[in-house]
Amino acid sequence: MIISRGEKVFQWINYLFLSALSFLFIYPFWRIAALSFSEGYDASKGGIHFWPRAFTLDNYKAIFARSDIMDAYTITIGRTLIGATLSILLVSLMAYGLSKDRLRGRKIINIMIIITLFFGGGLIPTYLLYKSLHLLNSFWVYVIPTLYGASSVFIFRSFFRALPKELEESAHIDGANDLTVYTRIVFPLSLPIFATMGLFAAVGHWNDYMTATLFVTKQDLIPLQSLLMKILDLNRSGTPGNSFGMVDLVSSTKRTVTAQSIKMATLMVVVIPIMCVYPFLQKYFVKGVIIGSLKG
Amino acid sequence: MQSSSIKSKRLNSRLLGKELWSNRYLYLFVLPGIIWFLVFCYQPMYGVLIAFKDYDIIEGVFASEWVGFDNFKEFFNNPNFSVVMTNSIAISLLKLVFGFPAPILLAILLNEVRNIVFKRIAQTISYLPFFVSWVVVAGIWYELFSTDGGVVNNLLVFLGLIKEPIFWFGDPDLIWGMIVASDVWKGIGFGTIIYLASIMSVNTELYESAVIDGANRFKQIWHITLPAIRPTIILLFILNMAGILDAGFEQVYVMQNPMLLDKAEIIDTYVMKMGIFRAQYEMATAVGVFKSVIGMIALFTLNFLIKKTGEEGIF
Repeated sequence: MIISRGEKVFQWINYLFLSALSFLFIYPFWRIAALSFSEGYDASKGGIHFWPRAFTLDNYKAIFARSDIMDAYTITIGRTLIGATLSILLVSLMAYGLSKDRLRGRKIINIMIIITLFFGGGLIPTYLLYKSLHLLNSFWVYVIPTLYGASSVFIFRSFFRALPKELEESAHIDGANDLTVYTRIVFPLSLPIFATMGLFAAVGHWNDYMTATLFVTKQDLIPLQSLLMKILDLNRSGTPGNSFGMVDLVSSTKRTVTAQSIKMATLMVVVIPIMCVYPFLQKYFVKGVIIGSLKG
Repeated sequence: MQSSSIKSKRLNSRLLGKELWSNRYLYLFVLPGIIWFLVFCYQPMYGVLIAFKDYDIIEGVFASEWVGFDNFKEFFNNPNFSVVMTNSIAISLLKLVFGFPAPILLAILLNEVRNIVFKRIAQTISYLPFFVSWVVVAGIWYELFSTDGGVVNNLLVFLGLIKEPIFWFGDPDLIWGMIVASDVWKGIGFGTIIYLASIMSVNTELYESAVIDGANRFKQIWHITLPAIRPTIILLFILNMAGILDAGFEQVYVMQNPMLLDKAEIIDTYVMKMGIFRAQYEMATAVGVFKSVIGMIALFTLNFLIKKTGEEGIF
């Protein structure tokens, strides 16, 4: 193939541009990491861009010595595990039922679910509902309201519909009921979709900040994202520095730790678990988005 | 005659009973879900009625007194109305202007990359920010743009473009720009995947015959790639317009502070503060209803207009 001069130039510019763009996406994370491993006072002199000048783990030691961080970690890990597991279990069961023509009323249930994609009650009626269900200031507000979702039901359903029928049919002929078929045949065959959906549900739980902001005021129930918000002190005041609890924290630790270095380390402990599952996430992400966008 | 029809009815209902029983687990599987959707999706839809009522928390939604559109009038007459409307629409439109074309462009550029490994790495990096929360994004951006050693200010001062560091997240005149820019940064990778997927589905023979006809790459992009992804562009555009009053609840809430409220209070954050923090349930619900109605009107109007031009709408 003959490539014209103009196209060659375009190719080079394209590579350069995309490299620069990639740098813009990844460098901010890198910088936070470098600062989180830097001695606070040293870092405050500036000039740290890619690598810590005075390497230290003190920032991490300081934040893990805080009981509120450990509490928030417990809440977040707990809701992530319980919430994601319960959610994919219940959603997959419902989707399995809806994937069978034998289920009477299937169409009505489908319509009932589709409507929820387009209409909702909005924030305040939802708040009042949670209030009447005693979900406010309860751990379960993190779990129960996100158990089901229209799109995840449909993604599971389309996966189950594409499974080969023969195995299920022969199991039914041998007298197996639907519960047995689901646990012994459908579940093992569907592990990829369970892993994918579970992972996405888990990331959703990990990153959820609004639920706690809207429905939880008890400070021993707040998740990591809310605590991070408090430590970053983004929207309480316009002036940086005098963050929540930061003064005691900084004075009670070695003088190498500053409010800023604590913020960086806290950002890292929130981001690191996401980075750990990122290779798996991105592997399934493309597929998931495509399925989701086609169904939606 | 009659007895036989009764008999067959009985037989039918017995058969039905037997059929239902043999599928009992299927019904058991879907039952919790049905209850959940009724409680967590449909009950709040019913609760929307309080927008038209003088809500009494003890009497409940049903028994509270009707007040017609009073709650809506209260909102429209509120001095905050024009502020939150302006901010919501302005932020949404700015996101549309800058954020909407960005993933289309990135997808086309990535599609032009011949080196598969480079393409994969660049794409993987581009949606890294998509997987972190808005709190994290805000934390990272505050650091990058800080007045005290932030990279952006340092660089701009070094290049001589500014004399003093700028307080990027503290200046009401700059906050729209920061919201839009961070939104593009976080979301571009996600949109790119959708567009790349529809570019991939283009028949490669089209490109081959275009090459034979002497079309260069730019002509191929213009005449083949862009028309091929047009349905996707239209679909996402309609969905975007339906959210014209959304502006990004979580993002804006995370990035606003008391100094910026004139520019950074949007409908959703206002509803939250009115309804939940100040317990003005009826008015906050009315504002929410107003927002959904505008969204619906935008969705249907745009869908109608786009169908008129001969394109396929979303329904």
